[in-house]
Amino acid sequence: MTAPSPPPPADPILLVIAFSGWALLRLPTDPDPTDEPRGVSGYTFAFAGEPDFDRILYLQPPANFTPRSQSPPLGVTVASAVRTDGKEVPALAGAAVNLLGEPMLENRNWNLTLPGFEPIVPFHLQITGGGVTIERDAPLNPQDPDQPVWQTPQELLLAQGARGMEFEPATIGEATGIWDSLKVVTERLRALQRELEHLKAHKGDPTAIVALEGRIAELEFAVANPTDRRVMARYFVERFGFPMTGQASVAVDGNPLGGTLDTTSPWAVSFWLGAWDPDVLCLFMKGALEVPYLTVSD
Amino acid sequence: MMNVHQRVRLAELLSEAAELEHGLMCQYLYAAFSLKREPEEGVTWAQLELMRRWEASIMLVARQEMEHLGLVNNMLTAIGEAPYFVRPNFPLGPRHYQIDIPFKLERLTLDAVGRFIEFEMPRRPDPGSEARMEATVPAVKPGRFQTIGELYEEVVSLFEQLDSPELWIGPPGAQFITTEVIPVPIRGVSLAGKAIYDINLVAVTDLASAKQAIAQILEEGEGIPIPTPTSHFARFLTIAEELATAQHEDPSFDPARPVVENPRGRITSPATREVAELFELAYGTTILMLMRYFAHTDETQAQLAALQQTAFFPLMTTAIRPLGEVLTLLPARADAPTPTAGPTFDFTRNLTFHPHRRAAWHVMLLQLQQLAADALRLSTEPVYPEPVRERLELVYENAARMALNFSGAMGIPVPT
Repeated sequence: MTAPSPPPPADPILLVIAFSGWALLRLPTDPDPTDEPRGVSGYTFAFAGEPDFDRILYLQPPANFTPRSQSPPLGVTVASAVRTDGKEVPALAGAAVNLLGEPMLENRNWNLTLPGFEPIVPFHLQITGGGVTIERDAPLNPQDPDQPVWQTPQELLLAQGARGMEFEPATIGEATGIWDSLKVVTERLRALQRELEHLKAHKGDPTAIVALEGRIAELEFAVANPTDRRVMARYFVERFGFPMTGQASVAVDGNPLGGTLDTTSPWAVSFWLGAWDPDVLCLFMKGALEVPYLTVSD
Repeated sequence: MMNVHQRVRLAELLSEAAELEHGLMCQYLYAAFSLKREPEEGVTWAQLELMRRWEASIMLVARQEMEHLGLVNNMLTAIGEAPYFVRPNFPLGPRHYQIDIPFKLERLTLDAVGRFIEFEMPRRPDPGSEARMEATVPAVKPGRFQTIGELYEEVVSLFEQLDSPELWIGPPGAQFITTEVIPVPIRGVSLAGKAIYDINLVAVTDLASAKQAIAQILEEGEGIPIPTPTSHFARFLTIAEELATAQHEDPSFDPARPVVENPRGRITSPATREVAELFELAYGTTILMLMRYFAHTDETQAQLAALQQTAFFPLMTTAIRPLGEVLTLLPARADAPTPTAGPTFDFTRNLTFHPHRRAAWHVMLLQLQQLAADALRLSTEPVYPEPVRERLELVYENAARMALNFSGAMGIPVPT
């Protein structure tokens, strides 16, 4: 007679960190070349007095950067942090979510992937706040983390890339309150026209006036062409989801997480980018990071 | 029985139309590449904003010239003829074509824009446009010689006279449409039948679709029968007016870099010559691929996609345009900083349809590899300014990736 088998080990408890917020992305758009510095043939532009495009996805506002007027408040933050046994981890609420390095959406004019399938490279996630700093890298090629993106095999690019451009007005509306993109564009146009009148009436900075006139010209085009990308882009999302297997670290003061996080097993991140606003060069990000615990405490 | 002489005339006219559209595109690109891009080049922010819109407008026109080239090739294949991508080198005297306007590569000036207006001008411009031309570019007179629209009118007439099953003998599968050459993979919204990046390539399979394609070319180009502010003619007229006004307000305003006219044989700086040759290799490779794409024989859909995924995006956007722009920053001569150079768009004699499929792919792959190797070598040469080296490095990375992708898709190992 054999002894009964021991019960299988319970799934580890996970820390689920949900985040959302507006990010900044100053990049040229097709059919401009990837390294076009100011925008010509696409529908995004660096206007008068602004620095050249840098293509970097900023989840937090960069230092010494002045957002365009009418921009949403920038910054992706933790909305909630909850263990899968139901216990909340309040220390992380409001923590800043960031991507370190110079993360860029990489398709290089469709040379690496089709648009909508591009990965974010590098992808080194950091969450910091409430006495906690959580970090993990997700190299495209774990066997060769330093491999340049343009040499990375197609299947690895796609594994970490977005899963396509999806028309999802409900997703956008529920997350951002934007249900009518044309209305947003029309109201933006009126607001900028008022700003322009004010600037001109008060003999404002001539460069700022030129920049505003450029934005207004693009918005006027958008209002006159409601099916143009300048309007429709807000309704699309790109969804990402992949395991993170690179270097991880967790630094804490005390025991704010209610246990010890596992820095060797894979973590899982999933999120979407969408509600792209080509006038202010911002997009919304929403998702979650799942991190297994090694040990938990009450 | 079909009038074969008329059929030959039709094919000849369509080939001439292809040559014209191709040549116009090169001239418009050359002018666009010449534009200054920074205040440090001696222009104000307000002038730069104007120039940004001009460049966007000219690039849009150039893309639509590519579309017209594609439409004309769809017409040629619809009647069983070979696609036509050949064209003579610049410059061409005014009598080369019946439109009687010289073809030359020159930087953007009011005179150049005036010439572009002549290219796109309808036989009888609307009175408003005629008055605007008289005020801005008085040397441009309507009705002097044959317009491009009149060439297409003869094409329509021949299509109508020859219309029969004997005329439309090309395989419908050889036709290309926008979503095949620019397959934007969005879900939830249909792009069928819509312009993408202002390009609307439609299939030609019968008289009605041929006439529709020509009507589209004429509406986009000359703005006929109904004038539109988005026609090429109207766009160039607006640019001319804005440029004239800006130069009236600031007589020192010059929107373009001091780019040499007709650079063929005039780039004597060895370093610049190497970049010009790199451009020619990229342009030549694109042409070879387009020839094979439009005249494909027994390629599979995947192999056609590989040609498409190299020749349109990314060769045009990551090699031709950056190299064309970079050249206008480099001195044409070794002994003087000005004039600067520009792309020659030289068309060499080997640019012809390569009939043997696998060998053709092999040639294309070799050229992509050479493009990468040359760009890498030049990107490390200190003779070039840092911004130029950075762009050359990106050209290298992109060309190397194109070679890798093309090699994998066509099943041809990358030669060592």
